[in-house]
Amino acid sequence: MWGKKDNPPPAPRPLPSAPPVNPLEVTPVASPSIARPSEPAARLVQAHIGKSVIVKGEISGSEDLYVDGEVRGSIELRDHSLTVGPNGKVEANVIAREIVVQGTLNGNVHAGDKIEIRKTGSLLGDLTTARIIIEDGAYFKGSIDISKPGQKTETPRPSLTSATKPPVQPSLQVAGAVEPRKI
Amino acid sequence: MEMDRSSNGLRQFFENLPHESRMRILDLGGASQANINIIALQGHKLYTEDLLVGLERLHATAREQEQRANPAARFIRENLHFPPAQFDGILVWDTLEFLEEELLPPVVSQLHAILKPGGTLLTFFHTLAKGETVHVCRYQIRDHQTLRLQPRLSRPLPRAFNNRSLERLFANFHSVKFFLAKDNLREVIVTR
Repeated sequence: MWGKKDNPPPAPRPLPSAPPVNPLEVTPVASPSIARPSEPAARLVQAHIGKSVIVKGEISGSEDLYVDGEVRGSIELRDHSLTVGPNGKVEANVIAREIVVQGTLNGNVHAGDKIEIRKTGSLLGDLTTARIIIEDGAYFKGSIDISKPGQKTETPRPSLTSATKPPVQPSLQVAGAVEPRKI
Repeated sequence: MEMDRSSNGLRQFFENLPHESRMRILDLGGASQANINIIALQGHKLYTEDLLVGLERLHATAREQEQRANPAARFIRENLHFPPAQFDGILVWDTLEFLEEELLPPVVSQLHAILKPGGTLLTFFHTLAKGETVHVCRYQIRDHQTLRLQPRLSRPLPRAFNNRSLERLFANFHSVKFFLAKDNLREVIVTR
């Protein structure tokens, strides 16, 4: 009580700095990284495609994905979210539970839960989703089809089907090419 | 400054639409959360395009290329490329009056083509004289007869339209109906 000093709160552990991106390695694609401070705490683990990485091919997985580089092909994350970061350029048909666009996404998009186009975001394509949020300043061109919960909708079936995929080990798969991106 | 106003044209637009559950509506004023909430959340399929952004893109690339080969065909291909008789309704807002003379008739002709027979088109024209500065607005639907006008930029009016010239412009359509509003806006309901 007297003279007892309050224990100072433990200093927050600094976030580990992101590993330097080696353009010759593909590890940024599948390696989980610490979520950004602005992301919800629940999504502590998400795969991260850094801004120097280009992926051409099919991505499927069972974890959240953050794309700040380029992806051309298709993305299927049925029960997880895709975030296209401010530097991200995605040209792909996308299936995910939730999709947030801060960069550029060209392709048809099916979200089981929500699509959010932030003010810096640009989305060209046909959308099917239960909810959509478009911030002022965001660019969208295409069609919007709102699917009510429980409503059977036409889900785009890219060449990735769960029947043809092995069990989710590793949790994110890339079929195609990964190459460095000139920044 | 944003302003809410009642709109007889909008009320008529919704009254004219067939009362079907899965209509296709095209909004040419760009994506708007308010319009999505009113139209798409009611089960209709909403298509969005921003004709003014498309126009700026056309001008920008024309300057770069220093040539304009058939700009109307290119503008339509990039911004109004839809199958014939696709839409039950088209919300054109005030975009038409900012199109150049060479673009306007082909664009109106394409709107006729992509609208279903019996479909309805809502468009606005300012009643001010040519050269006067007007606010180009985003039109957000608050309910079936109320609009929120959100100014996006100001521009001089390229030309003036009267009822007669608008009837000529939409001569291929079945009917044209005008509502003159107090804020120098002529609301026009056009039915194919």
